[in-house]
Amino acid sequence: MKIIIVDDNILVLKQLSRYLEKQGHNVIENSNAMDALSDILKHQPDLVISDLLMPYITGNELYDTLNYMGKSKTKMLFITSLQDKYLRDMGEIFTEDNVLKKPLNFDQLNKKMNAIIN
Amino acid sequence: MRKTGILNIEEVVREKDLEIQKLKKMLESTQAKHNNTSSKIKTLTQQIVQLYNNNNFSAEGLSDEKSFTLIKTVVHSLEKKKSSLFQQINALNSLEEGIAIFDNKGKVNFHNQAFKNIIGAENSLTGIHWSNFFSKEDKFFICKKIIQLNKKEELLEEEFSFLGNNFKKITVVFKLSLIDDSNYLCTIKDITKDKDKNILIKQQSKLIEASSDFIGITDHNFKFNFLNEAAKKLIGISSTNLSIRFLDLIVSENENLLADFKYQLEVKGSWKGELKLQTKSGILIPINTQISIGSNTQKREKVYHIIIQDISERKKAFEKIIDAKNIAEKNMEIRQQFLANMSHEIRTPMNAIIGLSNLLADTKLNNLQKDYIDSIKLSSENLLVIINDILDLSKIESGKLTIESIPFSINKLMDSIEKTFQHKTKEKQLFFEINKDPLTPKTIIGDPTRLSQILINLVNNAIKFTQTGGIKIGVKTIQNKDNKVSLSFSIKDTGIGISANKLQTIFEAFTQEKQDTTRKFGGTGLGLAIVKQITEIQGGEISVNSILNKGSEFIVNLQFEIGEELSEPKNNRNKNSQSKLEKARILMAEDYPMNQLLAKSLFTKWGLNLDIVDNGIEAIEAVKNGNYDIILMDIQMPEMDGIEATLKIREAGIETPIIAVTAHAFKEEREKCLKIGMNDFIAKPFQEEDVFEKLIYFSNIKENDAKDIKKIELEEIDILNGKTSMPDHEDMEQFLLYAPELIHDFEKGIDAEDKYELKKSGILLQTLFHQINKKEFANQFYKLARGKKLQNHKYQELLMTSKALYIDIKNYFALPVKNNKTIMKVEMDLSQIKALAEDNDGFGKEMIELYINQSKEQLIEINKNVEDKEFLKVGGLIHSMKASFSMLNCSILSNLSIELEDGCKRNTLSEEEILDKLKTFKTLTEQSFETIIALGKSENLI
Repeated sequence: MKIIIVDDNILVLKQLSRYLEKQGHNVIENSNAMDALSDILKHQPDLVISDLLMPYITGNELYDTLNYMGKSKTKMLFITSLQDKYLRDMGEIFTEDNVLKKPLNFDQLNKKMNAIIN
Repeated sequence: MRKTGILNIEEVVREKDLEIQKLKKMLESTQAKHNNTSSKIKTLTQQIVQLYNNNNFSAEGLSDEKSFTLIKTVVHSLEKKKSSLFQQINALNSLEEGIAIFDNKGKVNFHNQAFKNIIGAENSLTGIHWSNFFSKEDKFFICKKIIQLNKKEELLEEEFSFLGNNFKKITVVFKLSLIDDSNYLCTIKDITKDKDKNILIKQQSKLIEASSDFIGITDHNFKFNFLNEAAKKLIGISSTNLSIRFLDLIVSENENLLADFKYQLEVKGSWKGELKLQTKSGILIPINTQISIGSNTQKREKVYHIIIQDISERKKAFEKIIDAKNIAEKNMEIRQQFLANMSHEIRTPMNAIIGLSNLLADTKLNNLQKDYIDSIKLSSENLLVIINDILDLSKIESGKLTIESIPFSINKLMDSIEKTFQHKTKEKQLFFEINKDPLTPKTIIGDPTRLSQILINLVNNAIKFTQTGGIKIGVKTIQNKDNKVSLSFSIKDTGIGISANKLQTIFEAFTQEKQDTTRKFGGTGLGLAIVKQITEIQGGEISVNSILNKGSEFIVNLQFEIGEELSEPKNNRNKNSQSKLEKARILMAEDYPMNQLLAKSLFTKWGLNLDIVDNGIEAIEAVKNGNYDIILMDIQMPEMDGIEATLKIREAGIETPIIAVTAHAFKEEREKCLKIGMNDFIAKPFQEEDVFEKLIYFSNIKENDAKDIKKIELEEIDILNGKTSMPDHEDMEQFLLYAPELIHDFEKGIDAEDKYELKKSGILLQTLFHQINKKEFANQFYKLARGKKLQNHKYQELLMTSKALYIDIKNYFALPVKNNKTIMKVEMDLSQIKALAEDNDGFGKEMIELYINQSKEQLIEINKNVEDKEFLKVGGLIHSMKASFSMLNCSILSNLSIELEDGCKRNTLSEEEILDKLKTFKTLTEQSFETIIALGKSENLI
């Protein structure tokens, strides 16, 4: 699977990319959403895993932008350490399936990835 | 018969006087020629007797002697009568009332002085007809009165006005009475002045009645004696039933109202305030009340004057204004919210456009397509500018924009403006001139960023609107006084100009010269509004002169404080101090090759010697062997860091000044440096001037001074290690009690450059430090207090050392606090990383290094944003770090992150609490570096 991951915390980025690569996925890392946007358009990934709160462009802004450009079919999984009560303020795009809380639990990551892809 | 009595007193007196004189003469001559004149005396005596006595008395047969006695008696009685008459006349003349007697033919027989004065005559009126001193109308009036009087034959009293001297209207009370058949007694009393007064009083009372204010007079018990119409109307009564007490009308929650009135009235003589008045129908009316003490001449008791205004209308109007203000504020808020939302809405498509154009630009394109892409890029960049303008403006309007006060060089700022626009003007083939004023102070204090923003905006406009010709920028000093300088910046172009009727509105938001200006030249029309606002926030003003099609000139006047001249290396340095520095041997301990290179080139530029070592151990070695004058010490180095190295150098008894070079600009880090024996610090990345200035300072500092500083540090360390005898416990307590406030005062004094405050707190601090056996340190305050000139950075040094001493002594006394700190241990595990790592593939090492480097960078970012008070950004950074901590199961830092993120983003913590927690956060994060390295080693990841 072709996966693009976005996180401004490089430690998290590396950890996730390492795990996914070990699982046999093709991973592209991005530490900011603007670069990720270009990569998404260029590479048409099967899944985008994105942090939510990042400087300049947030995860949900990335989602909005993709929708705006007619790329609403891009599948996205958001990873965040944001508390639930604040998550609601971020927008209405979040569901039980497309949000994964940090610190990352890889079992859950697999479950959610499967749920999104299928 | 001769008239006697008072009708012709003067005449009589005059006659009597003459007779007396005559008789006296006769007596004298008779006595002298006694014998010869006997017959004459007889004749005379007879005459006298006849004159004064109508009896058939004969002088015949009187002896001479008896005749003499008779004459003498007559003379005596005459003189007595005369003096009594004089007394009467005097009495009449001293009366205020005018008195005159005239006969039935109208001739004045007698008048007193007052009568003459009131009539306004200059000479005596005796013998003159009364009508001569009245006008025709007045005469007629008086005649009528006389006729009335004749009929009634009784006293007549009338008020009467006539024209007196100089046509002045005189009002008198005129009394006329008959004395006898043919004589009238007339008295007049001048009441002209009273009359004027009465008219005034009448007018005043009319005014009082007409006033729309409640006016009343009360007795000393606040019972009304008088109420005007408005007062009755307000209370709701019609009659003048005055059994109303003021206090019964008033509704107040203040139980002590009466006491308050009386007190205020006694002390100030008046009371003013807002009260509520209850009308007869029970309605409460808000009133403005004013009470003052009035005088009552008849009684001794006080009276009070009360004036009341019905302010219910005013209150309603005020409430309306408040409502309007609230609505306006709410609208403003909505607008700002709208802008904030809009910016997100705009950004989403913008992201798409920029992202796509970047992608597209990377693909193979023909020239036309490249042109299109360039246009798209240009448009989106312009759109970004617009968005930023709008956000900037809303930031200014909501008062969130802060202005800095930092020293900067105006010449350098102008140079950078020149560089910024050189290319752009060349492209447009415009000339571009910058004129600086040699009189401008080299360093001024203000906000260079905002000044640049103003100038860049104006120059940008000038270039935008100019097709031929060019742009001239100038700065001029217009006033230089009292350490303040007024600068006038001029940006002049030869562009399209602005029509006269648009000059007024050019600075308003969303206006441009013409509707199609935006289309032709781009921009939002916000630029000038922003420039104006930024100028005004800094207390400046902006104006514009322009001629259509000829060009425009924008003038910005701003006032700055003059700063201490930033040193310009080499050129304006005192040669003597410079030469000392040139001879100085300087050592730098720095591990990072790029920084080594930078330092080397800088020192070469200055013509100075510099030896560089890689770490603390080498530094100690070098210091022991080489005779260095100054040491520049990086704090974070491998092998041995700067802190440890400094401690070792000081332990070895080497006093060489050590300047810390640190990227950590946290205050407590600086304090730590000074505390462990360093003499100063330089922040990284370093400012050339800063480094040079400090090198000059330390190359010239007397060895003793350096020792002084160092001794204090050592003494302090001794105390902490228990080597020095502790001062009296009581003294310590006193120190702990008073030091914080004094240190605070001292800091305030430094910040405000308030010499008096510095001196004052300095003296007190000297005493305090002396008490706790910090004698050397106390002496430095002594110098300060005695007005010895200390360098600015010495103040800072004193301040920091004081703070550090205070903290250490406090901690020493409050051991539990110290223990608390050690309890906060950073615990973490690497299980998540380890799970992903494979043997010897370096992933673990990479992750650990990544953690340390990323965290260090983030700490620096946090520090920067804390200084800028950008707490939202601080919150964002901490949020990002939180993910690292939770990955490493570092619960203490995770929890602290959550707390701090909330505090920064959602204001759940005060600024002070945030700063306090950030300190802990930073310390713990730095501790975590050691922990993770140790863990990495034990887990065989490193």
